[in-house]
Amino acid sequence: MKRFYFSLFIIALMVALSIFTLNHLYKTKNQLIEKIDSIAFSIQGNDKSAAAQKTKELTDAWKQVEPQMIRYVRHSEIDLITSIVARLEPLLIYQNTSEFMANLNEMRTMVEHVWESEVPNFTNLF
Amino acid sequence: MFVIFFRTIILYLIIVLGLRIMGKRQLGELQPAELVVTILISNIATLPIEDTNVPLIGGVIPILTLVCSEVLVSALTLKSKTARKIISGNPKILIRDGKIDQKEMRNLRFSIDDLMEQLRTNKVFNIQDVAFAIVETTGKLSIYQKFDSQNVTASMLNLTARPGDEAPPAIIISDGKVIDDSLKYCNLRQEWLDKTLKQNGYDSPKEIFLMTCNREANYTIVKKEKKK
Repeated sequence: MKRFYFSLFIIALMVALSIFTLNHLYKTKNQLIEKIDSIAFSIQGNDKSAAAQKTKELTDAWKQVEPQMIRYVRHSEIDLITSIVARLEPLLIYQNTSEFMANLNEMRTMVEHVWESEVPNFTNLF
Repeated sequence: MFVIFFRTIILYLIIVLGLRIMGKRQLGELQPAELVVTILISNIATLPIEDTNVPLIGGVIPILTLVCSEVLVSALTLKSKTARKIISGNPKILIRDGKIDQKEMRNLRFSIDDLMEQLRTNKVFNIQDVAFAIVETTGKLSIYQKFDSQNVTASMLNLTARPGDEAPPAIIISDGKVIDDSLKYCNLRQEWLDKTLKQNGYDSPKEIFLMTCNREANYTIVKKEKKK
């Protein structure tokens, strides 16, 4: 029976870990999308300095969450977002707004995709 | 390279832990569910080892889930006969009183060659000697021979056991090291061991490769060969 209770404990631990990572991913997704939308809003309002400041904040935020996400999300998806983030600041500095917006939109889609692929819904399970 | 190296070690330790949790039963004859778990674990473990794009936890979670599910299913089959029947199946009788059940053999897809091979493995060469041959849930064939063909046992000859007959010899010295638990098992003391070794011309247990002894203090000594 010792093994039985130990197995139950491990299962409980794994469920708790899964809930924790899902919650972390949800908060991260909301935080990043909020920043991305805010940058897009600034660009549309032609406020380049605010957009530059927010892009820096987005880059810093991504650098902070990336090492945590890499522990439970497939690295290929994280690597793609990292490469998009690396392009954002130079694109803004060289005033390539259309390319910047395209990259920003790609990043938004990728962040949402990572979240959607981790949610245990019917589509993901089957 | 170090990432793969450390990942492999971590997964190795997790699999060893998993097999320990599943218990000794897993290491012997496998039930269908246990076989499935063993195959799956060996496959899953290779993914995060080979592909560093897969997070380590992507290998750890399924392995632990399989191990825990196996333990829980085992506990369920222990309590419920129906669950046991569904998960492990039932033993099937293939030979009854020397007569082969051909229908059951077809159901089990058991060829005559398989049957004869299993009989020979059990030291039975004539089907007529078999009272019952049962295919266990592990796929192993258990045989109960007819009385005429059974090996003679001590009880058939009304023999009584001599002292020490029912306790097998234990290893007292293994590769120069004395095993204290075995000495206790044989109800012997260190003094007896020292005296016995001296009587046989040895100064220390380090000179012994193997020494076995039973509770009647009947011992066998194998001398350690010198390294060339």
